[in-house]
Amino acid sequence: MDSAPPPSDGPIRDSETPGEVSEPLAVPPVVAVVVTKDPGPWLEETLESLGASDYPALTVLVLDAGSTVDPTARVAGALPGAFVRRLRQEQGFAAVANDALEVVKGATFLLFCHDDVVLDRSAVRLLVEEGYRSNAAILGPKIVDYDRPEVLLEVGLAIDRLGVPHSGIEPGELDQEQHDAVRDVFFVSSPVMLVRSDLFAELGGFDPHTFPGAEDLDLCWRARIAGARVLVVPDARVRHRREDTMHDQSQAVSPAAAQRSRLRALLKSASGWSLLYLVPIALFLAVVEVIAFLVTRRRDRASALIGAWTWNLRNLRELRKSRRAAQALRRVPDVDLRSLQVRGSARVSGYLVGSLRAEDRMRSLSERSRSAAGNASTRLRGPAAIAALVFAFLLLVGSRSLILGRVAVVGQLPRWPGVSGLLASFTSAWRYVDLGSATQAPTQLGVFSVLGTLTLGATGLARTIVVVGALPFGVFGAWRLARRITGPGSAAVVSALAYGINPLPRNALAAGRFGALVLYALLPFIVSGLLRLGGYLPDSPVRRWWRTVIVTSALVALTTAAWPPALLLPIVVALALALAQLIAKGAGSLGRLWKATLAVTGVGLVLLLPWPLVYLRAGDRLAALGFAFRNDLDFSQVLRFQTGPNGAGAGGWVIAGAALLVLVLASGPRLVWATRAWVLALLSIAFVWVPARFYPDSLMPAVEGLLVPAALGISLAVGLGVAAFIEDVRRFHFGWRQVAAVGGAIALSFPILAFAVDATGGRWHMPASDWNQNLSWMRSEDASGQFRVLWLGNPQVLPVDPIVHGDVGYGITNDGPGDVRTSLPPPSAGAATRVGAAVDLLRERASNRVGALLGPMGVRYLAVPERPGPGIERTEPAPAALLVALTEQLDLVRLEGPPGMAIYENRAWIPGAAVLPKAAITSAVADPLGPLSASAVAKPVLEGTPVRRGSILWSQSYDSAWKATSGAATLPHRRVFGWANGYDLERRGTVSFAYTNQWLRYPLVVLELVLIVGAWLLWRGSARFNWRRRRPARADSETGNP
Amino acid sequence: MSSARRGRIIVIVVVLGCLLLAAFLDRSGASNPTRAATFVALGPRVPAPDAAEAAWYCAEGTSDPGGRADERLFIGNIGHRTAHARITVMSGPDAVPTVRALDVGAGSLATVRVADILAVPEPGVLVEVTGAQAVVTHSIISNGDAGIGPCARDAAPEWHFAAGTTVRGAQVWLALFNPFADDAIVDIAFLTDGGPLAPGELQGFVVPGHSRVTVPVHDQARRDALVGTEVTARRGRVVAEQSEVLDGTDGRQGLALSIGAPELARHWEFPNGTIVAGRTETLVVANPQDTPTTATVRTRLDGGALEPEIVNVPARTAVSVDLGRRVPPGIGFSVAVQSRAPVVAETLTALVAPVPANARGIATTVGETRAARRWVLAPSRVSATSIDLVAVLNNGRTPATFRLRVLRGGKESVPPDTRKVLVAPGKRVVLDLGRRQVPPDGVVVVDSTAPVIVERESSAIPGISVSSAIPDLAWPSSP
Repeated sequence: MDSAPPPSDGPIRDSETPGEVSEPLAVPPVVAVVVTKDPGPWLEETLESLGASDYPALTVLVLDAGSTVDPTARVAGALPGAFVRRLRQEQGFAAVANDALEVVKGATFLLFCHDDVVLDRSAVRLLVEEGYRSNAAILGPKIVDYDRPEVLLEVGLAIDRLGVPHSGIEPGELDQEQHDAVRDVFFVSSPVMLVRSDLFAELGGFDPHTFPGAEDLDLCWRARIAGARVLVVPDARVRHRREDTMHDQSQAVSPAAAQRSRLRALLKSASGWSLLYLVPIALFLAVVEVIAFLVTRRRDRASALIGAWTWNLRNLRELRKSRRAAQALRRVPDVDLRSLQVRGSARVSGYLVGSLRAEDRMRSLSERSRSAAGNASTRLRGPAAIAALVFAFLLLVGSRSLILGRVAVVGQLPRWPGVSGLLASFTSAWRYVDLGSATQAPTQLGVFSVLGTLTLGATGLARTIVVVGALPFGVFGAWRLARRITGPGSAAVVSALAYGINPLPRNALAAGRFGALVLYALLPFIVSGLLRLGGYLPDSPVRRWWRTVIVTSALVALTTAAWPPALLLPIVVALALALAQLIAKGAGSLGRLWKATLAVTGVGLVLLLPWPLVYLRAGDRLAALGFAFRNDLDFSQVLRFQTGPNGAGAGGWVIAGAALLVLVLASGPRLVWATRAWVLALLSIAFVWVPARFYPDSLMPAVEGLLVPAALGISLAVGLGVAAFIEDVRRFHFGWRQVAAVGGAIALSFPILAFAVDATGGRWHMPASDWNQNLSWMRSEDASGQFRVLWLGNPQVLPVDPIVHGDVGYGITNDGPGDVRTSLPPPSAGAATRVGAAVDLLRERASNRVGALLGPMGVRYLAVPERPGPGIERTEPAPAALLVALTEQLDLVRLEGPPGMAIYENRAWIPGAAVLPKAAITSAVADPLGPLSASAVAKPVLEGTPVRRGSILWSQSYDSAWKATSGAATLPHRRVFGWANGYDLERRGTVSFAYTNQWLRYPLVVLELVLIVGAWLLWRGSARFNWRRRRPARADSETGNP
Repeated sequence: MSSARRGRIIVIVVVLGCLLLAAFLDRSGASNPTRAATFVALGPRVPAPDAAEAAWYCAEGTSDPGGRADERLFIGNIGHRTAHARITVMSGPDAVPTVRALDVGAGSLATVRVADILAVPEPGVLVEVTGAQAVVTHSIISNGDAGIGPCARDAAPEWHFAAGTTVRGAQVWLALFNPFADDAIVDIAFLTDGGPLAPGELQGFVVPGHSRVTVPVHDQARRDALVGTEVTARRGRVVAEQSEVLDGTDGRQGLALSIGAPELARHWEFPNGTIVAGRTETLVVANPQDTPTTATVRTRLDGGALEPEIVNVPARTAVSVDLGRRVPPGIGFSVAVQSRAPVVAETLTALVAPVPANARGIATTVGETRAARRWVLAPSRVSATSIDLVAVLNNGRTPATFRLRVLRGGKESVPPDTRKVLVAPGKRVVLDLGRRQVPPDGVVVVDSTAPVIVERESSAIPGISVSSAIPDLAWPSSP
């Protein structure tokens, strides 16, 4: 056979079979199967290297997967002895390679090759020899770069538990024989792969559905579970161009295909038990990655991830069939393959290796850095940039103790537990807040768990980033917004700086107003979105209306998740613009604005579902929505944003004064914008001042949050004033306006100075330590049973989301000082009102046995702080009547507490899970003072510890879905103390509790994810449209065409 | 004027107008509502109708056989439902308290002898009432005299007494009751006419939890005609009551019971005074502050008024004023004490011959600082044979009309001539309950249209007792 055979649709006849050996040889025959499609000029070199092989029984079969130009002549020219088989139908590598199953007979080994590899002369021989020596079924060579053979590309591959490949080779790693040992690997890749032909046949060849991206992994994985060895033989070396049309280019073009192929391989080859935990983990990581990709604007990667799952779901039937076939061959359990898998995430380690060590990237980075540095040095000479740098420096200095130390647990900034704790709370159908309720968990728990995952479980770090980052992020947002309104340059920078030096966020930080901080960070972006949607920013038109709506809604949802009143924010902004329209008309359509406002609010609400449904339930909704504060700020304090210890005092007038200047400096559109900014500010100020002035007993949300729109409006007005001043100077007009503007600029130094002074402390007056630390000893007290802590006092200083009765705020935490899981309690109704009733008795001094009332609720400690944290000098003590009432309680014993806090232990407490004599519970129900006797005889029910027979108290609000079991027996359930769960334990044994309606929560969590993904898909739909529309232009530019 | 300029002016007017208007409204205090100041009521008082539970602390008294002051409790239910009383007698930190439950019917009175619950020399009695509004008083009997008065509603960090005496033949017992689980630590000092006295052994004095301890003041402050007592808690809270026994060495003989004042005040009222042969009334003003002060004593005669008397009260001393010195015999009067600095004022009443023997005795009572529209007396009379006078003082500026109701056995009755009694501003009315056939085992309720102060003097019990009635500070309406 000197020439290549003509193309044939049917199988090659026996006499023509390339692997058929006419004479018995001393070496096993090998057929090299070169799969090609539209090969480049490298094909010949590949064939020549095979022809030059020192292996004596090597036959070459070229399988052409429907090349446009018939390669037969080229094959004949390069390797006259090679066979060519053309397949007319366009197929992938795996399907084409499987053709060898039919056409190759009698070969011991099949050597699958890409058409862009160059094998060393001894490579095939070494592979075959090692195959026999090690009884291996699949073998692969060391693969090096074609152009730089000293650079390693691959020496066998491992995978992580989720089937993501990991080579262990760093980009650009030089071959210094450091990997030159024959060893078992999880798989070898398909550029050159020697496979025992009988095994290949038994496995049914490659799985065509795993191409591109995982056909080699899938084959090796199936071989592995069938008990075959897979080896890498580094002495056998192959140079690889990585220009093969079928593999390298197709994968580059379609990352989605690689993702779905890998997922398919996992779902096929992992055992059922492994899938039980691998699938949830993979799903969760996929969600996290999708979010990360979206945040980093890599939509194609995010899309690929989602596509991988949806594609496999669509092909579930076929997948199950393939899986059955693969598992039918299983002889090795998954656990035996673990040693060939890497721990952790290969994707993460690959990212780190790829991102941080890649030589070319470093080189590129270096070049880009030099270029950027050149541009930056030019820009940084401007006064605006210098001011921004000084601000950034001061910000860094002022936050140094928060960054290097810790963000204290103060106000509504509770500790974040671990990711698992957050997720468990988020997905739980039962909320362990107050006395417990079957309500939806707040969305913020889900958000926090995602943030915790992004920081690899370091939830404390995530919390610090969010809290400390709010200020610079808000300033960045203000700058983006301002440059659209005032135009780019100094005016936008000054506007952003005015937003940044406003004492409001610093005071929010000091008081621990988390919601206000989030609002401060995101409000500029939200306002920007609304303005664009309303057509108020002609220079920033909305190309895709829904896309902007979704982004703005997502921001509103995020803000609302942290601070529920924020849902009304778009309406407030729209209202301000509508009012401003009455005074000064400008661009923008109120109709469009209101339409956008309603859409943004509605979509924002939908994105938060099902959590908002909580507020439909009866109870104290306002308290649950954060209406827990009274403010006694006078008008000057409001106007100066003097809500806390940070600020400029009288110098705070300057920001407002500078903002007023714009009204005399600006004209035309700037005056219109200044009017809008001022109306927004006045509206926001009114929300704070009017209740304080006329309805001092009314409860309002945190004042730091209510004033954020005012801060933004005033900062915009300041920026507009600067823009107007610059415009006037440009026109060479000089007059009193310029003098006033210069005076305003000089006066601005006062708040800047105040900002600098506040920065010296390093933590913006936030306490260095917190009650959480002081009371950490409580966490070790749970050995004597579950308990609750009742926080009482002035709502301003409580480290919980307080519910306010009269002038007393209260909140409950579990088993210690608590964490974010007890934040955002649902409207208190039903059993939860009993805590409020007990607090009422205290504040009205209407009982000396409040301890006995709180006892069955598991309230063991009452903490009454008089300041936000230890070490803070300013005190805001609890009402005197409450303090007196506490000292009058017969069941409370005051403990030695840290200065600034009174702690009482309730001697009448009953553990949250307790066993009592039946008579004790009966008498307790009949007699208000009954719990006194019950507490004396109550014993805790601890996990796994047998308890005596009696009545079991489970101090969660009564719900028929709570079930207690002892051994295999379900205990009779009843209501005790009028609100709690009680069970009858007839014989000694262990008791465990379960909430049987948990299944209701999972669909709702899925619904929540579906809504988020749906919004994302909607957003992505718009994005894809734009991408398609722009793509040809980019392709042109890439090819150099005009 | 161009439209641009007009637009600018409109904007400036609106923005500045809003700011200036807000600033103006902020400054104007006329319509500026302020939050109600928190008033922390101390002293015996009727519990609020919606109170879940009310605790009463009875400190002084003994329950062991032959004890120096046999104690009896009176629980008067003025509500419309049965009150459930839980009487706990505490006898020490290591002793398990003895508890007795008792139901008191609506509109009726229950009497319990403490010795019937637990017989111990130092009983601290806690009465917790649920289910209805009720008041708790107690009496002690010894030395042929009786003392009766309300139990305390509060344990407090400080207590003040003014009118003790440790002259020859006198004994003063200071009872300190700590009903709480943890120990209280108090400092005890005495203000005498010779200056302050702070015995070392009474500084940092521990009152163990669930205990009552008695301090014999006469062993610490010897032979002082005036001994005011100050109890200040370093830690915790206590209930303080004081009893005084005179053996007749100086002619006065009997037993007096006083519940201390839980806080100092600048104004004190004593509604009931009279001077007759054999009766003396002494007002004692104690100034525990470190600076001297002056007190103005206004004696309001039933038929006129006397010139106010200015009394200098040096720092940390007590001074006495003989009220009978200027009052004509047979004339009733009330006394108001107004001082520049907070003080405590108490009267010591002594009845000696020629007063009938069964009425001779002594009584002390700390003045009243509170006026209320409703007052409660339990029991209605101390005994069937006692002379019980109820004095209703209107120290306000508007006339007050009050009525008297007697609750007994669930029924309500109005004694003759007490349905509508007018009290002029600054005047008082004294009613003799015995003459109006008021039974002894009931509860008397005084309802007034304006705030008044009510005090009762009971004599021929045997002996004499003077004590303030129990105000209902939350009672807003008029009869």
